[in-house]
Amino acid sequence: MSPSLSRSRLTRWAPLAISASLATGAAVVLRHVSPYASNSPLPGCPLYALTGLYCPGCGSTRCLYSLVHLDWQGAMAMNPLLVISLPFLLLMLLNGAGVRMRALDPLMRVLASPMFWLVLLIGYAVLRNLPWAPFTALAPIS
Amino acid sequence: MNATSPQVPNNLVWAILTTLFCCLPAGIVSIVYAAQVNGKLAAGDIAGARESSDKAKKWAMWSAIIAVVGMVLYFGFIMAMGGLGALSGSSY
Repeated sequence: MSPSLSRSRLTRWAPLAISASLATGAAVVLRHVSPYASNSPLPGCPLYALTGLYCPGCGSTRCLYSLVHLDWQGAMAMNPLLVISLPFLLLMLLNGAGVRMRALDPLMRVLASPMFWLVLLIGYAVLRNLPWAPFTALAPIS
Repeated sequence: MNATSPQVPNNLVWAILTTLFCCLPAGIVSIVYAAQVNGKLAAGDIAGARESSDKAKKWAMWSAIIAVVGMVLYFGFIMAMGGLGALSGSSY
């Protein structure tokens, strides 16, 4: 094995393991606590509270709450990009852990490009703040 | 992946996750540094790529730390308010 490949198993799997445990923790909390409630103890986005702007992560808590309650429509209404990107983020974490499928290589090349994500996230942030249809569908309006 | 180029992680996944779930500005900075890693690697600047990789990681960590500190402060505030409410005898 070449030195460049000698990263230990632990290091390779750590990001996936950390993400999985955080996701599990979030799922357990969100099974029981609803961010939709007006007196919800879950915090809102401080950026939104300060600026009134929707960032790419706005609506994520409600989106994940809907997801763990298998409410796809609710999840898509709150943060569609998050719903769509979650499986791809999982693929990236798996890829980092060394689970690679050759058929997915072209896809992984796009996903591994930081510029792609930069344009996607900033573009999404701009579009979801536009106050007319169809862009209002991107905003977490409940 | 080119077999001769050493692997320098660009920490992109953390950058994206912290942009979405933690602190947006720090997460964006992290993505920008992640972008530099690939560019510098392609140009053969290994040391520069390592430096950008470290910075991408550092900014993602700051983004996460800011989120955690924010949440602790928030829940601390809520509990303090709850405590005050209980002390002043309001009932709900």
